Amino acid sequence: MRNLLALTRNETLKVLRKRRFFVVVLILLCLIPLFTYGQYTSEQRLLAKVGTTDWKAQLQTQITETEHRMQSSYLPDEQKKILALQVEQNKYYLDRGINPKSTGATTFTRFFMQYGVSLFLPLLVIVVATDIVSSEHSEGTIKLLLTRPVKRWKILLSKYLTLLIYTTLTVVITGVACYLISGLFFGYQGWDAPMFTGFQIANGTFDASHVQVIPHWRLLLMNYGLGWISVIVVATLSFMVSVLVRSTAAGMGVMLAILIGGNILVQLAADFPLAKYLFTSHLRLTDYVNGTPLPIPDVTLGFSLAILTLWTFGGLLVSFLTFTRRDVLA
Amino acid sequence: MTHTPAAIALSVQGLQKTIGKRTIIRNITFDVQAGEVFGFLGPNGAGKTTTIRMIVGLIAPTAGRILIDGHDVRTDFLAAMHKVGCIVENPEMYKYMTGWQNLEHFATMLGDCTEERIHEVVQLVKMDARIHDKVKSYSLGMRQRLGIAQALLGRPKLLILDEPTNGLDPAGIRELREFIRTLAAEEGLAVFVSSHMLAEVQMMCDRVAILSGGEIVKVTSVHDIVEHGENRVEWTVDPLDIAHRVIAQELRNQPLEQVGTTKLVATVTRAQTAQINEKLIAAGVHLYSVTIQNQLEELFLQITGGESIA
Repeated sequence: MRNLLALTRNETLKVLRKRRFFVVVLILLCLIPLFTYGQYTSEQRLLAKVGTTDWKAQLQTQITETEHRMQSSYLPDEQKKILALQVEQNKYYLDRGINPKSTGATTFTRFFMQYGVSLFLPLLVIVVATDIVSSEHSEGTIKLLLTRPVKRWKILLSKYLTLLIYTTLTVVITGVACYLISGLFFGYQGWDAPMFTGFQIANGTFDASHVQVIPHWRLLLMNYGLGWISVIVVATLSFMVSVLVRSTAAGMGVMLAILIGGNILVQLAADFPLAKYLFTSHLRLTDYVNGTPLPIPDVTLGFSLAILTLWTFGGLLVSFLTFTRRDVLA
Repeated sequence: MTHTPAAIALSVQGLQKTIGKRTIIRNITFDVQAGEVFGFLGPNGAGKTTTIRMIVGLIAPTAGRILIDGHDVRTDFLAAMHKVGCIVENPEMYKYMTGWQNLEHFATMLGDCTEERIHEVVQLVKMDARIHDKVKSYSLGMRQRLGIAQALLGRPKLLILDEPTNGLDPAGIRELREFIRTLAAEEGLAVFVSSHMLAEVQMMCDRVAILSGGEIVKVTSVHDIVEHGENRVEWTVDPLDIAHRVIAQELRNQPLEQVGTTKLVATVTRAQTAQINEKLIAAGVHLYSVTIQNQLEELFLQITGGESIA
């Protein structure tokens, strides 16, 4: 155990000294302000259109109107429930003087994960993941690494643990940087704003029977938790590619093709029967909690997690079997 | 040079490797004793590196056994690897780290290696001045030395160097040769050196195995061949007829060849060579040069020559 810890320390130091992770952080620190600024200007334009001064009056009118609609006896109970939740949410904004049309750092941080989870974050993760084993081959250092008195599976495990550490760090840094940077523009409020979650789509109809209101910080955590699971899956499969392919560039190419191809497939042919079983179709786990429609019909969170778990274990199995048995030729 | 019966540091028994349908290593068997420098000589492509990769566990043999200090590489990998230090092909290290960081990295993998030991090996290979610089700024000679430092970290019984003089300048080669001899003589290390250059092996090694086409052609003591064996000797003389008579007399029934108009060639022992030289000078023959080609060289040329024709 102590041995494994020391090995993992070795590997984390190598990634750090190689400055690859540094590049990932740099990309984040360049792009987040850019996205923040983009969001900020589009919001300003919207506010200019709607009018910035009388939003409180507007919100009050909206609440009254909704309350009226709820009186109607024609309305099904489910609809009433949603309206009640909307009223609750709007009252929260009104009480605290938060304009619901303006973003707030917490909302921006959630959006970033929601939109980044299927492609942007996986791209960041593969920078380190595809390099971590293949570079030992391309640099020739694998010959030294594997002729030391350490079992091969332990060396690979220490590399995988290192990858998990850096992948988790990527998610954490994304969240923290988003909040801190976007807060400069939008303000740091909104942690306890009431949010809806629990929408379900069953047999093509919108099912609101499980909808509940949770504070925003919980929704944010759920988003980042699910996003973390998605990128761990991507990291694991890139790790497998890194074991199989001896050149980092080739591995990166393979992963890019898979990720981008998977994204296109989901958009073009979501009802293609095999699509359900591809891991790329299930990367947008955050959709399950944000109430946005899912890309693939008739799947549940449980099904998605099961598929992702299968791919992860498959990837690990291939990685370890290959790495421990393979002849290290030239 | 070992005169006392020493422990066997490396024992290779009936080693074989087949990739696909091609057998690239056939039934290789040899022992390397503690305190000796053992040469592994063969032309490029003879299977030297493949054999070395099998010895250090990078490639699994198809058949045969490898024992390092008595530990089987396949069944007792960890114990065997504790006893061996190696450089396989080029001395590749992590270029983005300093020499010291590289040594720390590999010391961690050994488990029981102290910082004092790292200091020791750094001094041993005389890298003190540059050890905290990034490896990418090192010359090939310095990388070679860092590689050796790394190999020595765990106080191995066996040091394996694959083509260690590749890319070194003559001064570097000489330094390396002396260093290897010192390690073997003073620390009792068994050193296994592969090379495709005969001269190098002759100067550096006690014994040599000659490899060709994946098979061992001969295992022999370098010392024996040079001092006791019969060698092809070539005399450049004038006048030729007197010299021919003098040498033929000494040789009695052994064959004597004439090459060109100034050279005579015969296969003789060292003692005979000295005697013939004395007689030639006593007979008033101008002796311009005496060139000794030993059996090893002949054998090696035969092997390599034969391969390029085939």
